[in-house]
Amino acid sequence: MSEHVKARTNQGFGRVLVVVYAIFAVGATARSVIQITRRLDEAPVAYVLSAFAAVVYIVATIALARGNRTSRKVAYVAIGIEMAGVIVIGALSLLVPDAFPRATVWSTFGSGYLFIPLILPPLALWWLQRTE
Amino acid sequence: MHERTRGLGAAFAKLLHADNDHSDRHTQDQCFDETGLAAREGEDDDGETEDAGADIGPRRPGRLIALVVVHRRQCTECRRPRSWDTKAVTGPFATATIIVGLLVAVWALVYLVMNKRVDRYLQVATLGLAAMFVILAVGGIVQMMGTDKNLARAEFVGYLLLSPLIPVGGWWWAKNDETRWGAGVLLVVGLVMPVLVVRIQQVWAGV
Repeated sequence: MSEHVKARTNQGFGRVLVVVYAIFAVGATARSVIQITRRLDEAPVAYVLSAFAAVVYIVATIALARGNRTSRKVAYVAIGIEMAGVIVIGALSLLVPDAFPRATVWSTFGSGYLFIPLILPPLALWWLQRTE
Repeated sequence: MHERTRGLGAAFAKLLHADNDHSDRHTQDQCFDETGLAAREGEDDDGETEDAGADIGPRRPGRLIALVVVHRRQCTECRRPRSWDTKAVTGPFATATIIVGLLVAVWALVYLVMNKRVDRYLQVATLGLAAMFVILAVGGIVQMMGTDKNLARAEFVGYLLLSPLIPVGGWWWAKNDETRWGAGVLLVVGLVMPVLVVRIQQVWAGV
């Protein structure tokens, strides 16, 4: 890998990272659109959080895929929020399960998604550091 | 044709109605009586099967399809008259999409390990996988329209329509990569697609 390539977040391993983020972005967006338009009253907190998670994934995907200096900063912020989200929501969903009658992507640390939501942010932060 | 294929027809009709999609609407016996493909009273499964073998000689797929169509047209009790019924999401085609997805994943993994960039063949395989999901989407929606079954329809259609975007997007994202990681992208795609098929089947089953 040349120096030029190494400095970009969307090259090499970054391409795999982007595709995983993109899949989560599409999935979370589609899910929250259905949840909110059809049954928001069922579990408002969980569904609004699903939508928030979807936005975070979209921003992180685009920021990682663009791979320039500004988008790197955006990526740090989005992935930081994602990391906080999965840890806080993961813990809350175990401590106060009544607040989450329906699952979000981040419930129980993303166990419904093979814990990928928990693995993804540290991996992305590592990659951002590495390509700095 | 009815006389000669009666035994096999009955066996096949039984198979069709083993499907619990519409088992609440009628009993098997009622339906058999109406179709004219009916089994004789008091005969057990084994008897029918042997009968079928003796009656029709070599089994030909064309005849089976004709039988299904005839049966479904005549069986007004169990479903509305339709000749374009599909089992896209629950049948062998869905299994084929899972297998092709896993093959793409294995293929991409080999390239990733061998440090090889994505070539034309792997690209064609990925687009073929995408085409299969377009077919699955069309077939799945047809399948859904043909039933009164209680399932999360918006979710079902959402999964079906969005799923082809993943292999198409993955192909586009992987094709110009100069490194092994293009294959890494297609590995992810190949692993995600079978999971999606299983999820679609769960939504169909009402999970």
